[in-house]
Amino acid sequence: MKTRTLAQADASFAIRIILAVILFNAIIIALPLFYAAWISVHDRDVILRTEEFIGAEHYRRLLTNPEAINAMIASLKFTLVAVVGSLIVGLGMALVLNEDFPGRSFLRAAILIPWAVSEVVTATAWIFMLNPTFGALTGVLHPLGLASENQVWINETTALYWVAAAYVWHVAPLGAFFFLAALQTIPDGLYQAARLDQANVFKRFLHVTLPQIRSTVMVVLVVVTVEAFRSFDLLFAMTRGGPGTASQIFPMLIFRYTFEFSRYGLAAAASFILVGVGVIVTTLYFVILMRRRRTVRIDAPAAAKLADGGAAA
Amino acid sequence: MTAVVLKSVVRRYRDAVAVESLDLEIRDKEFVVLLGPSGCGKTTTLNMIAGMDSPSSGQIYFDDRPVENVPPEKRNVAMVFQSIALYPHKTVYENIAFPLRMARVPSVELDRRVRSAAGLMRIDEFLNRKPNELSGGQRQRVALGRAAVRNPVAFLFDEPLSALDAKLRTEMRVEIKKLHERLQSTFIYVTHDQVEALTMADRIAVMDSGRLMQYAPPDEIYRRPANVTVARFVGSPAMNLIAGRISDEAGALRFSGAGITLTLPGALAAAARNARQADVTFGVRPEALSAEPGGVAIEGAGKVYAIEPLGSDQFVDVSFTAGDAPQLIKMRTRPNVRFRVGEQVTLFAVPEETYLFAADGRRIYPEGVA
Repeated sequence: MKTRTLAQADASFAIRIILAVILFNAIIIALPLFYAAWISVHDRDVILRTEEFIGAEHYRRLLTNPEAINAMIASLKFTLVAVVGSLIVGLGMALVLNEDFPGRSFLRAAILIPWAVSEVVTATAWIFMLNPTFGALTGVLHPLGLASENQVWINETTALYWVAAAYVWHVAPLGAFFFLAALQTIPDGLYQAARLDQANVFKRFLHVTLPQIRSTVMVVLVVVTVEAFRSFDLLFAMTRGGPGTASQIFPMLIFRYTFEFSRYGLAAAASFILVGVGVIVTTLYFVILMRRRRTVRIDAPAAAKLADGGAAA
Repeated sequence: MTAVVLKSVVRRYRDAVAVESLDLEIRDKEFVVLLGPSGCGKTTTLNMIAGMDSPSSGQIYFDDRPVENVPPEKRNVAMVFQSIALYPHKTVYENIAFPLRMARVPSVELDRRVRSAAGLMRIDEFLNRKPNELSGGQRQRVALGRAAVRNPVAFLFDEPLSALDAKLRTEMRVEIKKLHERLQSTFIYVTHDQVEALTMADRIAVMDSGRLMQYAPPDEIYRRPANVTVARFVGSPAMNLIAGRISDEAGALRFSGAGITLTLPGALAAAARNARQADVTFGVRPEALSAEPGGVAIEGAGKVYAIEPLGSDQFVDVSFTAGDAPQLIKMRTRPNVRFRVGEQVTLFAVPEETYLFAADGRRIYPEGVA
């Protein structure tokens, strides 16, 4: 019998343990996925227990339905505010926590609390805060003359943005956590070099910090986008999509199709549309941000020969 | 192109003093090396000149301008770091151009100056590359180019060669010296490598434990070390230093210590008499020793302990028994002189190249102020 080389033995072991994971994933992910796809192309009546193949009819209906389109727009708005907000707030927090000051380690741990509490708790806290009569926001702003005595904060136009703000509060610490880790890998020498090269704080941020945390920005961007895009708990706990349908984002619509109207086929089709849009958005990030910026325009080493002896003027 | 003057500069940390009342005057266009072991305060001193650190007390002047309270970005000094510190995401061209972009130099002039600096450092063919596509030596050249592209008041170097291998170090030493000749600017260079100091400096400032030990041209540092610390630190291999006592034996002054006895030659004896010191340290450099009779005989049971042939010459370690620990004396000889390990040998020192230091470390012989 031929003895196997060490590399072959390693490979077969690797394949075996990976196969186990693939099988497991197939059962818990692939099966429901295919089942959902199957449901989405059938029209099922839960009372009459009938089922009929209708092809892409659900998809067609959703793409032309104003309610679905509005929900998608709301979802995109919510995601945009959540992503931009978490990036700015998260990076700001990380920059502060990267400085040296007393109590830094405590604060580094403490900022993770908003992320650690569940979204339902976050929602409850914000609902209290935004309560027109006894909420903290009214309590602070009314004496300053910036709000009326019973200011209604959550209304048709603002609901979506208040939920997005609560979401930023909840998720920004996670971004800060990633950013802080990235900031700590930037060598001090680079900042010193940049200072001596006469770069001010802003230029140092632009030319040293940002390029060095570029890939982390990418990671946070993707994670927060995906999370925000499929976020449901916070919104459900805070406004249930209301007032009216003012904050009805797409996952909320899927929830209602499923549990209020028992339109399983429609809900499944909507889920696939949600995933599709999510994939498109994420791919766009990669295309736009990961494209290597080429700085070509230096082509003539010969031209530099003019310089021997003439030191930097 | 500026004189840099430090006056009574002190840098104190919470529980330690890094620099203790340092006075240092660096002339315009001078190449000064701050030399000393790690923790001697040389890098702290450089950082204070750069503005990265501030003195606890004392003044720093660029010409007549006090700068202690000027932030680094306003001091207009260029610095080359041990870590090289090139911007990893920028091309070589952009790295060199960066200080000019910060100073809003117009693009035509910027391009001319970048190419000129690149030509000077012979890195013109790498302008399109990123730092991680370059070798260590090339990166260091880019860092030098980035410093040279500006018109700084002074160039600061923080152990720039310590990350390079020995051969490259030798090359870069020459390179930096040439750069100084061409740029005609003030260079302040920190290192713990005395070879770099001796080969490049106009003047060396030897520091130890936050204090300035001696500030003089290399030759004087080597020939007339101000104290035993400088003598021990400068020279490779280091000066042989033997602690012992002087006694008067029938009019002749005899030195004995660590299993060695010798009669102090005339000039040394006179200096020792003047100094009225009994506990002293006798010093002699390896190259001032020989096994051929002549000069001051070093008496004692010397045995060849180890031989290190170097090709160009050889080092011979001779051991003398002194209590528990043997005292080793290193001699430098021509490579063709044959020794055997264990062989008995008597060493002779050139009288003019011997040293005597007092118990407090200061030099007794040769006499005169450093």
